[in-house]
Amino acid sequence: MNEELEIFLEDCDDQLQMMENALVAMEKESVTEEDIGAIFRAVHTIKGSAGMFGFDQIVAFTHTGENLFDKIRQGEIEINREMVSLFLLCKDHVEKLIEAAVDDEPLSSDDKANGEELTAALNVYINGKSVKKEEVVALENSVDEAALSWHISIRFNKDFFTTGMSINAIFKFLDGMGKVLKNLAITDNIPLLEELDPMLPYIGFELLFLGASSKEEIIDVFEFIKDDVDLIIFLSDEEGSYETLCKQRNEERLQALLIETEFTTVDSFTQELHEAETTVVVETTQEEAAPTIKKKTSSSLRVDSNKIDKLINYMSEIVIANSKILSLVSSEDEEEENSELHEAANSMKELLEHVRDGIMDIRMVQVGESFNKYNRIVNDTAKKIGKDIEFVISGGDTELDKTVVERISDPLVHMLRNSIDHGIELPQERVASGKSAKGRVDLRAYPDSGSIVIEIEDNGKGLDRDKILEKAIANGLVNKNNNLSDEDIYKLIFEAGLSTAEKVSDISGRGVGMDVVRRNIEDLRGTIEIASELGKGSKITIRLPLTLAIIDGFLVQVGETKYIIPLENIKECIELTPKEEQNMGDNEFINLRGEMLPLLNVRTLLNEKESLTKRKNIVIVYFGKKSVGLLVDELLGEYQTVIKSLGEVFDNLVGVSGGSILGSGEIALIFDIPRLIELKSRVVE
Amino acid sequence: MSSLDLDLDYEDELFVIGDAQQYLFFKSGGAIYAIDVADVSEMIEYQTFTRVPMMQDFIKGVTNIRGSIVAVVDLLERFGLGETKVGAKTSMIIVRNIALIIDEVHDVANLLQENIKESLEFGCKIEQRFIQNMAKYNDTHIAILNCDEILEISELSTVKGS
Repeated sequence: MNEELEIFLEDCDDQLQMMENALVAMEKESVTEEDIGAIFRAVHTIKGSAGMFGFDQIVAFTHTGENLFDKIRQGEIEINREMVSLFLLCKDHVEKLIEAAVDDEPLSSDDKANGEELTAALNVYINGKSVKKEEVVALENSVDEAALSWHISIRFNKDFFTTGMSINAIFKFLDGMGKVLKNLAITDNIPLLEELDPMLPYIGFELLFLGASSKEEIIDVFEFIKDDVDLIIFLSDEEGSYETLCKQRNEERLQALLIETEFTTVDSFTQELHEAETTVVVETTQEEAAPTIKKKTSSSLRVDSNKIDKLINYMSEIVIANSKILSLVSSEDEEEENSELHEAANSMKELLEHVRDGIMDIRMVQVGESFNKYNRIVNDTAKKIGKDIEFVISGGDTELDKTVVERISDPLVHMLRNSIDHGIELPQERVASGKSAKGRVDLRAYPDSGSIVIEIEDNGKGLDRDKILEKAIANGLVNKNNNLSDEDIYKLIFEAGLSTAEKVSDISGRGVGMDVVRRNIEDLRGTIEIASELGKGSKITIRLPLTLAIIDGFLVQVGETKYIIPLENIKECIELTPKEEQNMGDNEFINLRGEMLPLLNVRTLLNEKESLTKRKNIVIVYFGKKSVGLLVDELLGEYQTVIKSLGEVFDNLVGVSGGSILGSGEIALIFDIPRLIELKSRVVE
Repeated sequence: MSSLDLDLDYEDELFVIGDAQQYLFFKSGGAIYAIDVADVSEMIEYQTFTRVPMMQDFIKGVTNIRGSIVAVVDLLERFGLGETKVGAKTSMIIVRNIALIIDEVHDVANLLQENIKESLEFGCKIEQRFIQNMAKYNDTHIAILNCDEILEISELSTVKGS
């Protein structure tokens, strides 16, 4: 299985689990809006990601389910107990569909029929007809009444007779539930008469049992004696099951007996009779007998990211502790030569840095791999609605935290679909408005001052400001007499329940996508912005902070505080000479090689104390096309460091994206250059 | 630091008859306050911190506590009673992952339920919302602090001039 499919499977597992939890909660307690929302989103997500892989059966089935839940969510239909159990059955069916799709196997006819029945049952509710209980009940009965052929293998523990239960009673119970077709007594363990202890049950049974009971119901028969019997129950037609049974029982003649009494055939055993087992053989047969187990283990290892975070924290601590050792060693150097200790501490430092980088690296993956899978979804979606789209991915080598990549995937799918569905016009419309028939959607990623920026840009029709506003007023999201800027209005599309699409398709337009998108991004402590021009296109910019990343920075001192400027923002450093300072006068710009360079005095902007040194330095930083000189006191050099969050107290702080603990234990603050410059512009205004 | 040499052998105090809860008693701006020990994760000596710009005055900055970055709040300034004067006994108590600067740690002791009283509507020098209850302690009345209110994140995280 490739990695994407694996992620899909894991994702679906999570979503289905969430769905089940919510449904079970509903069954037990009352129905909450939150649960309904959770289920709706789960169905929606499964549909979305299944669509990405072209699993049409899943899309079709989940679409029906989603329709019903949408109505429930809107309050058009009230959910009842029957519906909850129906949804649980649907959830099981989706599980089967996913399994079949991932294994690339056709659905069994039973499952197909089951799916059709479920769809029909769902449609009954959707179409708002009176609830037909019989139909649902009939459905359940049809499942119940199918007689199943179970194989029951029984062995008794030596204390069995002391329980007071007789073996006959077991057969009586089973007779009551169905029919024992075959009964094979296993008598091989009965010893010679002189060694026989009449109080011990030496016998065992292999039964073929036909009945409409579930496995649980059969196990219930043994409820009172479950500690004193050793049971193995499985469907007799299950592939490889007899082989597993023989393995578990590990009895010499069992396999031969089972074949002899026609429980099963020789063919169902991959292993030859009485063959001496070599380890190699065991391994291969296990793989064949249990393909499902094989699938679930893979070479990649999923580790809770908290564990890695913890490791990184400890690692940083060790690095700091080691740098203390280093400084101690260096100071002793003057008195007595101890170069060996110095060398040892130095190589320790290097090794530690390797380990730290290694740990960091565990989390980082290139976004390209996950971006590439969007090619398919874009193409398929475009084809479906008759649009011609050029999809351009850039910055695939940008590295991002693995968890972030995973969690950004759903939002990106939503946004790409939105761009294609609502953004790009149909070819004829495009030609009519003087554009090329082929639309273009760009997906870009690039690092930007300690954050990762992901942009989705299309050259479609752009957002209709008035339409959004109209809809928002109609939905009561904003007041009629508002004074919103264009940007604020565009941002409204991230509110729940606002979809400007006029008709609902299975691509987008339920108004569920964008608010979920925003929430997901915010959960990652990122921001989302939208720019648009009517007729020209829109651009969505997602900024994700790298809460956990190494940053290459430049350490500077301003007043009493040390700040780190991300190296990627820095163009050059120059000294502010007294002469230049004189030339400046009261202005806040200098003449740099004939160009004007605006200066940002960090000390005054951030209200730092007077500088400790006389020297003044300028760090020239840039972002986008802007260049600004940061006036700082001292340049302390390059510094590679772990970004740490300052904590929620500083959530609203602009211009500082985090902190870093220096070798001395002191904390330096990391500048967010774009925001810092923004802040400065605001102060000037 | 003598103030931190608390009598940690309060085993006998754990067997108090009746309804009693443990509190940390400390001084801030010369007055004694109490705080539920369950809220306090640590007490440390006063240590230097890095100032963070643009925050309200009582947010002093951040400090490094064994590799974690922790916000530093001057409790006295939070009460609006001026900055804590740093001296030899000045300490920090870590409450809900925020370091509070205080004058000195006084004691850890049990307070009997019967000695805990409703707070007054007015009459205390700190705002009433910061007080959870009043308590009789060594024949004086002191305030048991309301950490929810004092450390309300939305209030602490407000940036100056916004």
